[in-house]
Amino acid sequence: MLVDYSFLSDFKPFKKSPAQERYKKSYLLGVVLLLVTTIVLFILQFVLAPQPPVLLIRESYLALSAAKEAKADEYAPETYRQAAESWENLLLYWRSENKKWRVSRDYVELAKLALQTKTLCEEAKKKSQYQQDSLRSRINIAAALLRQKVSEYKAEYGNLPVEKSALRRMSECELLLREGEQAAARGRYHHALQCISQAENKLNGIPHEVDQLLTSYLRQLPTWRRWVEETLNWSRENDKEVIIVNKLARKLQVYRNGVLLHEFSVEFGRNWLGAKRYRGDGATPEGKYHILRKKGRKETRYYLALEIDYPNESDREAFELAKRNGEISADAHIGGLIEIHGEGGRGVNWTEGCVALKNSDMEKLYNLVDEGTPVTIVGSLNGYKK
Amino acid sequence: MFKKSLVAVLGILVIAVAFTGCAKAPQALVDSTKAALDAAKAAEADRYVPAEFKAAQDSLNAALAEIETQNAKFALMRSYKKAQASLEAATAKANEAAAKVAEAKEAVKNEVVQKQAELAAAIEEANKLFKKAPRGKESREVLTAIKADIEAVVASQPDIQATFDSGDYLTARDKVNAALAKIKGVTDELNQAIAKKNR
Repeated sequence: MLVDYSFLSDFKPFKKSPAQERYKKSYLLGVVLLLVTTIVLFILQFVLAPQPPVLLIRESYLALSAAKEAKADEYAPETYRQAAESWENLLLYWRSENKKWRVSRDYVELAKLALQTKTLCEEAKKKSQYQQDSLRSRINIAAALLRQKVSEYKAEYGNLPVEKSALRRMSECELLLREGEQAAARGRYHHALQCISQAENKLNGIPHEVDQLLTSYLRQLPTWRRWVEETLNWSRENDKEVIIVNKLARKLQVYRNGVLLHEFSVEFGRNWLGAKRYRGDGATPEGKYHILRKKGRKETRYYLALEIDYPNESDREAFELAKRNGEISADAHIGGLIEIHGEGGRGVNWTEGCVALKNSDMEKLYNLVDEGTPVTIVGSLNGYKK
Repeated sequence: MFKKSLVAVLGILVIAVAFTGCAKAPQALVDSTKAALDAAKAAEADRYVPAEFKAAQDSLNAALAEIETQNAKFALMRSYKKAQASLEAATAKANEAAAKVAEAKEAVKNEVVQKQAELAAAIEEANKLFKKAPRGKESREVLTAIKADIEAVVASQPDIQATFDSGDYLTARDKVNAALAKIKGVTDELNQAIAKKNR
């Protein structure tokens, strides 16, 4: 059986309507435009979007690190604080700008902040280095001056029987100086300076203590001057030798007819500042005395000696009064055997209350005076340092 | 055919956005790093191990700058891996600094304890030598000064202990070293005086 396909010749394929055609074209055009716009916008973002000043920002945080390394937080705290704050502001600003659409971001202000941070960091670093150098020099100078002051005090007041507290102050001052130097060596300049300042305060109190001691001692100056005047008058009237011993000046002078013949350096008892009060107090008496006895080479172990008539009447009265007032022990003895003798020249006050001279000086003195020669011992004639 | 291609491109874009566009700044890590640094500072890392503490701080600053550098980029191109690595390094350094503080403090503390014992022994030695020192009349003033030195060192001991007890081991170390140097000077002086006497 044959099939008739002749109807196929009449078949017309499906054809879109013109409206459908237009719609398809518009759709495609839209998609292409969207893609093109997206691509253009994407490209524009790269072309037009401003770039953050990354290198400058990197430099600023490296500068912050360098400032910290230079201990700017400790030695230039205000500038370092400003620098650190500027860095925080930079990060905040950058973050807020980054939240905006790329094209509308503004990094000019960010660059300014980065530059400001960098400048502040560099300034903080410089200031810190300068401050450390300056502190180091200040500490070195202050320590050297203090050391010098301590040695001057020791030389100046070394011959004064200063209170133990003054000696202790000097030791404490030296201890603080050492501590300050230790701290400075480890770069802890603030602590070092604190130690130096404490040491200065300790040392500054010493002259005050010494002044108090001397002021009280020198109240007797008019009496001493009167004694010396009387002794010199006696010398003039009798055309004889007299001996004047000045404790603060550490001098023994020989006058004849009121005229100075010789002057010798002398040493005293360890507690020479003040009158002798009892046996064993290490003090050299003050008063008007006379040579009681001349002792030759075989009569003394101190080369030659001139024994004086301590205690005199005035010493006895003062001793009894002090005993009655309970100022000294009831068992105390007034003592005696005070001499002007040789074996001196040791540079320290070492006797038990005697006056010591170098042997050569002692020999001269021994030959100048006789038994009965007046010996006047005073604390000072011109006050201290005059 | 065209439709299929279009769908494929869009699909790839969506997947790309899903995988790369979601890169977020490691804020939690930033916070934990800052906390680690605060803890190190509280433990006095900046005093006892300043170099280590500074290294941690530097890493944090570098990481913060890196995060913003990435934030400034197009979302699809951001990568916080470098910042993350810096933050992890900063945290590790901060923790290491905090751990080292304990070590460093312990070392200084032990040094002070040891030197305090040395100081006590040196004072005892100085006192023994002081008793043996020549007692001549001329040495009396020198001995008084030496006694004052010994007394000053003895008086510094409670101050050293108080500084030590307050936890300021660095200052305590300076104080004990100064006292030791002073007492050793005194001991030398006394030894010389005794040797001179025995000659």
